[in-house]
Amino acid sequence: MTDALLIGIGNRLRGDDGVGALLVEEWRQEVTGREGAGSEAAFAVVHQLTPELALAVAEAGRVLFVDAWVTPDPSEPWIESLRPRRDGSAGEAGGHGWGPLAVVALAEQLYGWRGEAALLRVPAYAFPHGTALSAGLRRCLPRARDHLRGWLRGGGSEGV
Amino acid sequence: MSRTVLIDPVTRIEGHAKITLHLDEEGRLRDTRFHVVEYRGFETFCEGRPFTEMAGITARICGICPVSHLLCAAKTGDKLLGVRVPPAARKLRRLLNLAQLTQSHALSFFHLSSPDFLLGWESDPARRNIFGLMTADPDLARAGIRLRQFGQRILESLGGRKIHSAWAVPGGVRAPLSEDARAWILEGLPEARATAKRALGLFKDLLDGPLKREQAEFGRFPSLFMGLVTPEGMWEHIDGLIRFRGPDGAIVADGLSEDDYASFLGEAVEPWSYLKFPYYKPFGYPEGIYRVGPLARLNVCEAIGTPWADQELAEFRQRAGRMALSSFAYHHARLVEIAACLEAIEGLMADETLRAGRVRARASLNANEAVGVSEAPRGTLFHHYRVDDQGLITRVNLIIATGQNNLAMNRTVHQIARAWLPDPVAADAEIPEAILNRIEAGIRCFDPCLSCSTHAAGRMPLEVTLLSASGEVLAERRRASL
Repeated sequence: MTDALLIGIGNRLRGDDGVGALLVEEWRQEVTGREGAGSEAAFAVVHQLTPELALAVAEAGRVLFVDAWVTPDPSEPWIESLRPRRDGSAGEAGGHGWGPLAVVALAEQLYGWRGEAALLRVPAYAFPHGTALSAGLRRCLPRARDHLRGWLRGGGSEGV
Repeated sequence: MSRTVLIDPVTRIEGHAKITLHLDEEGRLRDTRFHVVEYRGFETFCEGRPFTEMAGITARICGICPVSHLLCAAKTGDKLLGVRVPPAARKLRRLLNLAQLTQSHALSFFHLSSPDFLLGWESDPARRNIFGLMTADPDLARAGIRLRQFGQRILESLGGRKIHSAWAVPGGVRAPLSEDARAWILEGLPEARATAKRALGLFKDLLDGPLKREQAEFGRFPSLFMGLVTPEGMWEHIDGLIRFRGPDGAIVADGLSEDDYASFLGEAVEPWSYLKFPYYKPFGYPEGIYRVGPLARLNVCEAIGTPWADQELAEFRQRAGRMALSSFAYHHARLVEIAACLEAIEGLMADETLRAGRVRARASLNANEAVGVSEAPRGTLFHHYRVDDQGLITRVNLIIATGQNNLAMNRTVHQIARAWLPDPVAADAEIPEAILNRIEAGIRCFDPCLSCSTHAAGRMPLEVTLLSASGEVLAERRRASL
């Protein structure tokens, strides 16, 4: 079993939307061939969440989703704990579009997973075609990286 | 005063649409419309791009079935280069498409549609999804996830990523299949086959029992069916010729080339939808209504050509008739196609030539216009490009499977509304949830991907409105967006 799983979500060709994918890919490149905190973490970079990701989650001790958070106002990145509803209702899953909570709920209910799940939300402001990031998001990147590293070191949603 | 019912948004499909049910003065159903209200315009922004980028660009139309655009764009590019694709590359493309069909059909059946069948039309919509399914039958839910993962892993191992891979290119593919990938595909096939077999058994029992009426009535109407077949008339998904069969089984047109699509396909436009209405030109509009996709592929072919799939096809035809006219049979057809795909994948794994020789032919531009065709999970897909002498795109036309089913989706909604709505509808009648669900489910038979066909950004919620003859909204039901 992998201790930690990072799932970066987003489209790198749609501006700030790709920040989740960017941060996870960046971390993967940083730790490739190195030993140390986080180097043994598993990674997934996806455009969208799909049900079979629950299998990957079920094989990890804990999982961090990293995604853009659309906000009109200046804000800071933060990590929140994910606690799926226990009533078996749809939550964020009902069609082709899935949210992190739905993937976690699926892992819990189908595979009996009881790990820790969290979501790193990074404020995102602009989504044009292309890889350029908005100034607002660029300001948030150092803090987002700190959150990600803190979580990999074992920090939870309150500990980073 | 006539009235209209509006269903908006349609859940568990991709894109955004609403349904209006129009009543006449006596409260009887006069007309139904499946409106697609989003627009993206992919064809326009491809102009000016090099044709070699088209596989990468058009694959981004959708995150669900990018492979279909990738393959069709690559095939169109082959013709612009004027090359013969090496045999190994042709087979690798076939493998990619088979994996795509498998994963997409698994998603449609296990995650999107089976909750309706297994939990019942009357069950709480909030629970009629994969979470409800996993409570009712966790083993089936797990097996469905694994089957989709199997298809996805093949895509990933060939293309380097599950979606938006740029592995297929004009002239062939970028890389061969690795030995490791071949080994785990062979290892995973027995489980995938067992899952498909279980789903087929379960669904056939439902068709013979609680879903008998749906199988008989749900979106049943005469139409043409179009799909690719081999020169011998067998089931085909990427390299064949186009065949039209009529509702009585007669072959209406055969051996058609995609190059001539404009001579047999027309595209009508209606002011109330962004989705075009393709039709079979010789029959005119809207009489030239035709269906594409898994149901059409099974209807147009003589047989599939592998033992298990042919056995399932025989059973399919036993239940639905030689020409399955009910749109509900799309679900069963998807499962039969999964069997066909898994057998075909197994066959390719045993084929030594898959791993032999070149995988890409190289050339410079040799033509200024080309049309490519392939079978996407939802039906026949056409890419038509014109390029200048530098290979820059000057015109693109994409004819998408969901668009080709547009007339049929409208007819299906009409058929279901006629069968299940009270006749006449009382002025103060509530629209029962079960009827709304069936109308929605009628659309879901086609597993429409409206992001592709209208090239729309966003998700697809459903809205249903009941309108009077004078256009007054009498009732309205909206579902939470996805």
